[in-house]
Amino acid sequence: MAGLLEVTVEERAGVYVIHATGEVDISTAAELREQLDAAPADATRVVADLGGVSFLDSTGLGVLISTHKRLEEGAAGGLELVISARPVLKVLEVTGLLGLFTVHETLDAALAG
Amino acid sequence: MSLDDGGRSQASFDLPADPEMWTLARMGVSAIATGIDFGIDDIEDLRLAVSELCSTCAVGATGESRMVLECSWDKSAISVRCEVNAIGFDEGEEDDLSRRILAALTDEYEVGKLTDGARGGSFRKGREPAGH
Repeated sequence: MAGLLEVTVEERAGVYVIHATGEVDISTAAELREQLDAAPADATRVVADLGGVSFLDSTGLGVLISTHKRLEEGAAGGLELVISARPVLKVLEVTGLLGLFTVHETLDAALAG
Repeated sequence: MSLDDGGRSQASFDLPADPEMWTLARMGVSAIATGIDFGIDDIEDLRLAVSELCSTCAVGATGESRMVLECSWDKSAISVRCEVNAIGFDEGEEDDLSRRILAALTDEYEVGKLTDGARGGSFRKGREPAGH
């Protein structure tokens, strides 16, 4: 059942941006992890653009948490998220992890930050 | 699909215990919830709860493992029961985030070892009152 998640990477205005579109679950989270792991340790900002993600489960959340912890020790200071879908935001809320990340409503807002 | 003695409808899915199948499980339960006019927020909660239940029950699943998902419902609530066989259970691999999500999104849930080589769990979710 391939094709549930598409992940691309770009650098915009000095920001390392990982775009994800689709569903991040136990069967697709590895694709997201692969791109997040490729973020340079010396990047000043790393943004996971989840604006196109409609579903996020605990495995996907675990990938975001581990990336955030890795980046906390570098110049970026952590992983920033762009979230527009209410169900994705709710996963962070109900696990009590919303405060862990800097969350933006749009990529434009993230890049302006 | 059938009716049990209490007038609740029932359906079951027998799938390989392969994470790629969780999408089908989510779709099946979503379709049931849509059919009894659950709201969009409830349906999204159910989709996530089903995924977490499947993942938690399938800890230690092997290539031979099968998953049976049984759903029963009436107009007010949906119950989902999951059983995975042929597992090599390792308690240490279970994900605490899954349990947190299940606790937050369902009215009640339980997950655990059933017998040697089988693991299962269930949850019940009632319809959110209108306006929530």
